[in-house]
Amino acid sequence: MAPFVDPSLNLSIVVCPECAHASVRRKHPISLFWSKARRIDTALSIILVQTILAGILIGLITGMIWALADTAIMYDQSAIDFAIGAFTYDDIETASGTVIVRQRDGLDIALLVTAALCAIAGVWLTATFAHHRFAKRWLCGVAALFVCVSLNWIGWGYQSLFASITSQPSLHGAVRFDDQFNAWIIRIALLLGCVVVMLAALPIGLPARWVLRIFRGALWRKQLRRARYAKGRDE
Amino acid sequence: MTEAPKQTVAPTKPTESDPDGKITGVIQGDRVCIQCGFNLHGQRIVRESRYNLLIARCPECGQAAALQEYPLLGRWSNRWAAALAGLWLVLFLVLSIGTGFTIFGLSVGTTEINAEVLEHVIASAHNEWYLSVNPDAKPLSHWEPIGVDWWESVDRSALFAQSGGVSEILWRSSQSTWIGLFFSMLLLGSFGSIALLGVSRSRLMLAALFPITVAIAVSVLFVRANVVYLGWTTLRAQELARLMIWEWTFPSTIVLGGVFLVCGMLLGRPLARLIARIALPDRFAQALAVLWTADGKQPPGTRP
Repeated sequence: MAPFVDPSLNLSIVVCPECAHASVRRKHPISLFWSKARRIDTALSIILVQTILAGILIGLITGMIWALADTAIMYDQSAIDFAIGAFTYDDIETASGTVIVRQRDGLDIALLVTAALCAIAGVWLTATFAHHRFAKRWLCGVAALFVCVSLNWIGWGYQSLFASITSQPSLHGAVRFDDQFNAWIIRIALLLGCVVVMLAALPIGLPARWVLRIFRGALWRKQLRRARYAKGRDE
Repeated sequence: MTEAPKQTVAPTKPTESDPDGKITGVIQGDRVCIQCGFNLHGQRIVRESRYNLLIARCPECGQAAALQEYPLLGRWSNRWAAALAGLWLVLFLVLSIGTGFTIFGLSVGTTEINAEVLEHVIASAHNEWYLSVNPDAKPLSHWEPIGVDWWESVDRSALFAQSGGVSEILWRSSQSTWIGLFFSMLLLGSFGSIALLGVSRSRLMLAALFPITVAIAVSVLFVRANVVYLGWTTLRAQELARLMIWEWTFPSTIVLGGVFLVCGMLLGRPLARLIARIALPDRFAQALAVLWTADGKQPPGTRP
């Protein structure tokens, strides 16, 4: 029996001439399986790319923050003095009396690289996470960076706990709350600077989102055209 | 003629009706629209009046989805299904045994790292005794054989305490191999919980027992083989150090491995759902709707 397409249901229907029982002709499960597998593949590919990008951007930004904070501690400076001073190119004398020739250290380049990374992260958050609300995606992004720059507290907490439980004499000297706290405050200050740069990249992120949307729309229409062509050829 | 599986359909009140016909239930499983791919989870199933067919309308594009279909007559689909199920079982066994061997390998690593300190303590103590007995002799290296008489006469608990004892083992392990154990077991547990999507949480715990049993069995065999080997060979500080700390390092690493594996199994699915929710728009997340429907949750972008 040849099926006919019912216009109201848009389904291929076969009606038994003996008992008048109607059945729907379906696609072969193998072809359905592959179309479903393609959709899963697309979803997993997006997750993979986004996870890798998140890992790279968060890793690089927090790595730069940690390195810059360590350098600021080495120079006995606050985060703001350190950031401003990086571009002055003057030789300075630190509190401990060490004279530092700034331009040799490449601090200006390090700060510019960090700012560029933050700008890229800002564009990425705006363009590719448009399905989340503004506050939600920015809070999540900042929270992820905050957790990464505060990871030292896990090690410090574990060391303190272990030292107090086992009374290990070798560990007590290594656990110094003040050092941990001062370094963390400088990292948080640098993180706030990074957030400001990320937000400043918003005007670039919005056009990038529109471009991405247009590209996705074009891709979707192309797929739809192909599917309609294949359907017409089958019928 | 086959109808939609019963477990995917929730009954509604028989008095309710729809422009297409009488409502008979709601789709509770994961079924995508053939036109636009929208997930039809939660859509009403209607007994269509014209052909008496069971259908559900896509709320996005209006396409009717037929729930009454011809059964498959070909044998190859069943054969492929059986082959895939067999392959899946083999992969699951390989993964479970691999997880067990990972725990065992990290137990051996933990023993090796912790044996270094005790090895030096034993060798130094033996050297001191040797020089006190033979004042004119040269000091012994760490690799020199150790006499059984000296080993049986020495206070082993004092040597163990001198090396830092249990707290030193815990500290050194937590700074080295247990970090790897934590991440590897969390990752394998998460993968296992997603791979066994149809399995309930209580059964997942049973599945976690298999790799732990493998780790225990291999560890017992390994330790026994090494004890037998020690009876055949000359004693050295390294082997004696391992022998003294095995009873601490192997059980603690296996127990921790099991705990981390179970944590991974419990956290795997919620974590996968969270990542999918963060990274994907609803339209794409619907392709992974099984992550939600397997735990009886509402997939993103579907209407109840």
